[in-house]
Amino acid sequence: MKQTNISDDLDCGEAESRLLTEIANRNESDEALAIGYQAFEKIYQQYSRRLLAFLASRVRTNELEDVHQIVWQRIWIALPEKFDGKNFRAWLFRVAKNVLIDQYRSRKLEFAVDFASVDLEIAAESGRLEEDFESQELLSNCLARLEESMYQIVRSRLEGEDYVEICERLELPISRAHKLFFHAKEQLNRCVAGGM
Amino acid sequence: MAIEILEIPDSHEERVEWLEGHLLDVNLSTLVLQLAAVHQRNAKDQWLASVAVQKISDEQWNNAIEFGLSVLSPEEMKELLTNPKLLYRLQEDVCTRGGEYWLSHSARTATVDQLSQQHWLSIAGSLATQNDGDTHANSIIAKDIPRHARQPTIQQSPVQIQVRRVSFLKIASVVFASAAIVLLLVSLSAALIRNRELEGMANNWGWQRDEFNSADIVAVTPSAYLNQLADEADDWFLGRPNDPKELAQRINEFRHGCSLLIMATHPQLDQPDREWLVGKCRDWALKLDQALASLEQGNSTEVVREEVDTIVRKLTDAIRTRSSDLA
Repeated sequence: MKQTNISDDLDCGEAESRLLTEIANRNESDEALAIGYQAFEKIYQQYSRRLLAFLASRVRTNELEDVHQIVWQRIWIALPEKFDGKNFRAWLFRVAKNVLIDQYRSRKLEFAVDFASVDLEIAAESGRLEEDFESQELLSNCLARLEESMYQIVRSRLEGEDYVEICERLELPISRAHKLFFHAKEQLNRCVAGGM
Repeated sequence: MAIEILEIPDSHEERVEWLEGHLLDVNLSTLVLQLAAVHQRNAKDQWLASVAVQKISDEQWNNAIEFGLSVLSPEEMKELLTNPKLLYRLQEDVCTRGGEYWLSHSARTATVDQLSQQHWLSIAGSLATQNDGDTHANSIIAKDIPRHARQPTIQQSPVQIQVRRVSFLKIASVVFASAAIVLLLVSLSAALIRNRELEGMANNWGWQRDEFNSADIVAVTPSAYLNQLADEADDWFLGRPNDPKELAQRINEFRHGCSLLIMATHPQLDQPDREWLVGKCRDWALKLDQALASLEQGNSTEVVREEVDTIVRKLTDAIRTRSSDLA
């Protein structure tokens, strides 16, 4: 393979195509293999953060590294034969989704949901959700212990309302609403930290 | 467990930024679950089986994927916050087909960066075992692996490092120059404003209320004293001027209260708490000066008022937290 200068600017589609070509042609010579490896590292740097964010909300924390590694291994192996050269990002995330599906199928999640009846999206969430449900339940219990006025303020803030709208609706002075939110926050933090 | 949702900002613009940051971070699932705990108090099985119905129009959804969440109205943001399952779909769309806006989004968290770097070590190591049977090929890749193992960050070429250093120096110079100009403007505007202030203002609220500044203010404990200060600061929200001149006057009045607080003796507090309060007051005073300068530069009254709202909220939160710690 003819050696090319690799651009550092991955925003440019042409530069990315060149890197992907270098990865795909890595088996042509020893030199090509070294260049392909360096190109792969640059592609990793470009996409790994986004991929991590995507995977982290869909797998358990302790499985994240393994799943992330499997995705990049599949990319390294499959790219020369299976990538059509058009949209690398879309292909990367398609591979990632397939890895997730394989993981769920092989693991047979112990979870009180019939996975056959829910769509893939929900199944994909559940590995991570299972882990977070305990803390969600704790937060729900703590929220239930708030005074109604405090709960209303918290709920309204989390609906995206600002203090002016909330106060008009609840007929409260802004300073009062602000104070109620502060105390609700303090109470919730204490409750959650104490496990109730 | 950190309760992420309680950090939700008050203004629409800041909320947009906050949510975008979460979409690109590794804790989206936690945020979704916490939002669900507030809005959808049903059992987890029901919640899992429920389907998030997207009420945001396809056009607006695609605009958000292309240009960021700032294209969404407050009502559409509310739709996302109250149906948090939609955030998974949004994250997937942002990751797989997000526009240039998302590709160059500056929201990066230390956690994601750190994970990316850590994982590269094992991924790079695993590549050497992927060329089944081709030991020669594996050795070519593997010779690079110890380099990464020794250095826990992803290697960069000398050219890249040099480019980044130059960029950093340029950025630092621009930031320094801008900061100097802003400080100059702030000092000038603050001096002018204070002169006007001395000409007489109706200032009978908040920290500049006459009776409030008496050292013999009745406060049983340091905690109660701080609480009273926070309550007085909340007076800011009692006036909502829409006229820039009136807003400038109100900021000035609050700023004047800060000065009085900085110079007061606070006999109700112990020395460390007194120092903490005065130090904080200085920070807040500077921020108020900056808000005034922003107003005088022609920024919208609504935007500046929201900026000051945020300053006051943070300020009262800080005082009340200190008060709770002392109680």
